[in-house]
Amino acid sequence: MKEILRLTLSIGLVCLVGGAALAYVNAKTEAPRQAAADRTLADSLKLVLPPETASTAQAPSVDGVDFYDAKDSTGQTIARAAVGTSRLGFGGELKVLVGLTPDNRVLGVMVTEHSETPGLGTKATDRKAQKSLWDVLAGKATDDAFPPNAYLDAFAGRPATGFSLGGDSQGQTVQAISGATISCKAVLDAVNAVCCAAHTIEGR
Amino acid sequence: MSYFQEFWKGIWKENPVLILMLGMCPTLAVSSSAKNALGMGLATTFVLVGSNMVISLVRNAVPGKVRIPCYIVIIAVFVTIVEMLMAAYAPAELNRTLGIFIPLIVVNCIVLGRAEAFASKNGVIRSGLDGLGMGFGFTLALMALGAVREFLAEGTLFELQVVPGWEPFMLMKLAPGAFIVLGFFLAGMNLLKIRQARREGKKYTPPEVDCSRCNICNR
Repeated sequence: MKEILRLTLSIGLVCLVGGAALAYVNAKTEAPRQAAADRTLADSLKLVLPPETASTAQAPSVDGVDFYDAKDSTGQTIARAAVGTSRLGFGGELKVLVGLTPDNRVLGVMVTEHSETPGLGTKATDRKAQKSLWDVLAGKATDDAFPPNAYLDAFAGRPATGFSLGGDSQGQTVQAISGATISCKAVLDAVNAVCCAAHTIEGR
Repeated sequence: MSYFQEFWKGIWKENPVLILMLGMCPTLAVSSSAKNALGMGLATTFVLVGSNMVISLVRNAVPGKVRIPCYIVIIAVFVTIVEMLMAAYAPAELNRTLGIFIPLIVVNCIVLGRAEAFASKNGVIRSGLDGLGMGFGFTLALMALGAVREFLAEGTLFELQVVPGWEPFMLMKLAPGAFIVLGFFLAGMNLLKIRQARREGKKYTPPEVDCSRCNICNR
């Protein structure tokens, strides 16, 4: 009995100290983590919105989807961006940023937050630069801020009316990547959440 | 054993991937490209050094019977703190590339394996060096695997094209490729060891770190 109590207490103590350490670090890093996330969002917005965008402003959220209006230098709204969330990812929550034209066509899609498995799920989420080693050695390579990804680029230029994976014959289809089916579905789900919200706005 | 040997053994003689066969899960999953392998390796090294040192510090205070749950809690706390600190203070690019590997490390058996087999019996400095050596050994083995797989699959290295117009060989990028390439690596490693033993005029014996000697089950 005394032994059990001693063991329980020592595990309890380790957990307590660990929990306290986590709570402390969590509280201390909350503001800097938020600031870092905001900076990342601002950088990402530049990539999915047209180059003429002079400023972005947060617009009201619809159905849990955050919208951002992009204005050109005359103050005219030229595009919108929206953050869609899906919980279907292999590693949990996944967020996409979708750029939309005023008539609700997809400008570009990028994944801003995810916990997919590197090398497998990330095939559906990451944009990889296409550079040649020889060009880099010769100093000829340039940085491409928005490199291609066959899956994510399949959404671009099409009307934001909802998508489905190839095989389901109805609606607009995109082709999933082998080895990354779950991540593809999560990206699709998040993009569709944006499409739904955009549709709701249009209906008003 | 000198401090340097403590560090060096993880890189060659007791390489966690090629000799100890520890951490096979991340090894197979994350070695699909050299860049992923490097990221996973560095993140693991960092956690390994930290958790080894912390566990070495508390090794006499924790009762033997519940040491493993205690170690797991300590490792998980350490990993979560690293994750939060990186999200807050690391440059965005570094966080984006390394951040996804961090949650995978909690369950990496190298970390628990070294905690149990080494840090629970040795001092803080030796444990830190052991973690560093094992981490670098893991990184190097993973990077070699990743480079071979990436090259065979796409003709690229670190996402830079080496051979223009390479016909993609996706088997190498997917799980079967990991098993095939790892098999050749292990065969090569055994060949080296056997040759070395023959040159010294001895019979080759596998390293004395097989399962029956692992003290997770024996103590």
